[in-house]
Amino acid sequence: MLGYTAAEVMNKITPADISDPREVIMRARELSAELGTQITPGFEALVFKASRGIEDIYELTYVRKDGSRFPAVVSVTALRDAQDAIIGYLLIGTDNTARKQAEEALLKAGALQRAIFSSANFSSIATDAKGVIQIFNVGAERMLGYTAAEVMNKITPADISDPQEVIARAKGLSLELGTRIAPGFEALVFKASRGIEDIYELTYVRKDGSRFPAVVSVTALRDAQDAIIGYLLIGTDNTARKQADEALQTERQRAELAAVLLAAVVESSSDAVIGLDLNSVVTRWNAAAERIFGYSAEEMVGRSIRLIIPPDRQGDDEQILATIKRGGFVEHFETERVRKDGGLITVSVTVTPIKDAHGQVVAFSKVARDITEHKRAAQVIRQLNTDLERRVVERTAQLQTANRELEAFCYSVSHDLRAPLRSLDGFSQALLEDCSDKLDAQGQDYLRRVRASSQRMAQLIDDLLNLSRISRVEMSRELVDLSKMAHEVAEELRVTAPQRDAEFVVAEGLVAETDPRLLRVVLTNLFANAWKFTARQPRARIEFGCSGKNGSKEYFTRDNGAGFDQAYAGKLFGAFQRLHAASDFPGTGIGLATVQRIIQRQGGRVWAEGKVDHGATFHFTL
Amino acid sequence: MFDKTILLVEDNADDEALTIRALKKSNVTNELVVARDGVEALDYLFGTGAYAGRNTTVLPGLVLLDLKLPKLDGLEVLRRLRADERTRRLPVVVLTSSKEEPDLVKSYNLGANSYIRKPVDFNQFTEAVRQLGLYWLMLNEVPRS
Repeated sequence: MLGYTAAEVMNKITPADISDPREVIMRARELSAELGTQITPGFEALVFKASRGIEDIYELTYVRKDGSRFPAVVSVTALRDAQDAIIGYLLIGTDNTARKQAEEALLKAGALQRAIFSSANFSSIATDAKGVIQIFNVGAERMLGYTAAEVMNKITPADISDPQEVIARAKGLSLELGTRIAPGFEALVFKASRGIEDIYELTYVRKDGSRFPAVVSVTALRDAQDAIIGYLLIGTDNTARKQADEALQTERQRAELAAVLLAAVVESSSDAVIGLDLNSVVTRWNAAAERIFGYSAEEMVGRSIRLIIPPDRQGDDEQILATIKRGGFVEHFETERVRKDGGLITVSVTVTPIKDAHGQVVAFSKVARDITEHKRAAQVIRQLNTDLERRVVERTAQLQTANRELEAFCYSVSHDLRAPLRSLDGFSQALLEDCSDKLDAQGQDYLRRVRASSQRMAQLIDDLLNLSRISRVEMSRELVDLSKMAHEVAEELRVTAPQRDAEFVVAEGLVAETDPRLLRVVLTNLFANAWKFTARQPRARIEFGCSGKNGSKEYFTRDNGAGFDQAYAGKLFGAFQRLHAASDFPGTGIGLATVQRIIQRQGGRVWAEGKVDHGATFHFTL
Repeated sequence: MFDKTILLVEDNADDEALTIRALKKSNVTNELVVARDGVEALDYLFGTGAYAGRNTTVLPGLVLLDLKLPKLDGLEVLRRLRADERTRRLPVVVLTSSKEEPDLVKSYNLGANSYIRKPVDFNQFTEAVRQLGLYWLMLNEVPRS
């Protein structure tokens, strides 16, 4: 064992010299501590216990002559004489290498087992042959919420499994294996007990009642005689995978639904949806395609799309498909197609390439919309618009001509109709002045009447011209202080007859967006009317105000004058319409017609309320 | 005042008679020359046509110009007067029937000194002529040359 000859060691060295020196030192230290006495690291350490009559067998590493080592088990005995005195020591050693190796292997296996059992990620549950839990590792504790003490020797894994699933499993296995299997622990281990490898999904129930999906692997534990002494159930929490599965399932369902929806959309689309392979052979032909082109899907699928393309358009179509195949982009285009009945229709077409996973174009999808009717309608609309524009131009020209004629007419009236009146008036006056001695009172009266009529006609002409001018002037719109304007107009009237006792009541702060010049004409006319028809009142009262109703403002002028019969209210605004004799109240009957024309040109409304001898109120909106 | 001639440009004989009567009633006794159309008015002022040889350095003190005239209308007469160095500063009063806005604007743009609309009422007309004569022939001053 040691490689020395007896002659080399006898009477020369001690066994300590062939022992691992460090172990000798360790042993001396340990024994010193154990026995409470100082023991020298050397031969004494190897035999001290034996010297005290204590049987001593220990492990020790011997060092061979060549320096190699081996583990030995050494048994030390003290040799004594008749007087029991120690005369020497016997050290019997055996080579311990083989045993040591076996032990190490065992230790290693144990470590593996421990590792398995202490893994927190697996629930390792070992049971006896009847299923009663014997081992419940930390993983099982963590996953299931029980402590090992709570379950060991108390329950079986069936008690922590979903009862419904256990029953279902028992039924399934009974059917599968043709033998009756009890719904309980047996159902969980039956296959394993028959030596069949068994991994299955199972829902475990935690101590708090919550559940989680587990994948369980079951192994039967057997003794040396191959009899089953128990079962090992190793489980992993399957929640994450289950969720991933479910997500995948949902995704798949969604995709399926999308596909169904898409198919429904395609089928119900009012546009023709046509599938083509790379050779322009129809692979898909929806209901709208049938309707638009007159061919049924049966007639078209498997045939070339060229069937519906007019001969002079075939080149175009091939070019477009080639462009798209090369990865080019073709915007939707308008073209013509031939229906089954031979009719030519206009369609708007979009071509989309169908690509495989590598981006290779493998087919085409064509969406075509029948725009024949649309085109026709657009053409009609264009024609109508052209007609309308032409008519507008014509009417505008006519209107301009009419306006020019009207202006010329007015100009002419303005100049030529007045001149004779001047003569009538002027020479009547000359007669009165130069020949009064030849005219009696009646003759003079006649001449005065001629003059009055001339002047009245001149006034009529002026008023008419004003009325027509109102229609011709361009309107502006700006913010106008109506109250201020009313005060000014009132003042202008007042100075014509300062002796009159008249009160003007003007509401303050009235502002409107309107044409200031035209509105001034309105106010002047209305105020002048009020002024005129209150002439006989001992105290005239003329009011201007605003009553806002329904968000639109209604302005009014009110007087306490002669008023009028409401039955004739509508006639007031007609040109030359008068409700009073000129001898009572002078006037040409143009004023209110002018007011109405201005208000209407601005998009407003004017109306009157009155009662004989109780004044009049004129309302207007802008 | 007495050395200032009045040039009345008027085609209507009635108006001419009434104007003369009104001037007389207003005691405006200046010499009155009547031109019955636009061409005649220019001939008088520039010494051409019927007025060839007239001493054109003697200009009227006032021109009463109607707008509606045969041959050459009042506005054209005015334009030519203002274009000529001799008559650029001549007082011209438009005396006409209308008060149409475009007539007013064009007259003033062409350099009319005044714009009077003839009233139908002869009394008012007389009053207007009186004030005209008073203002343009007595009160108003013009450059000598």
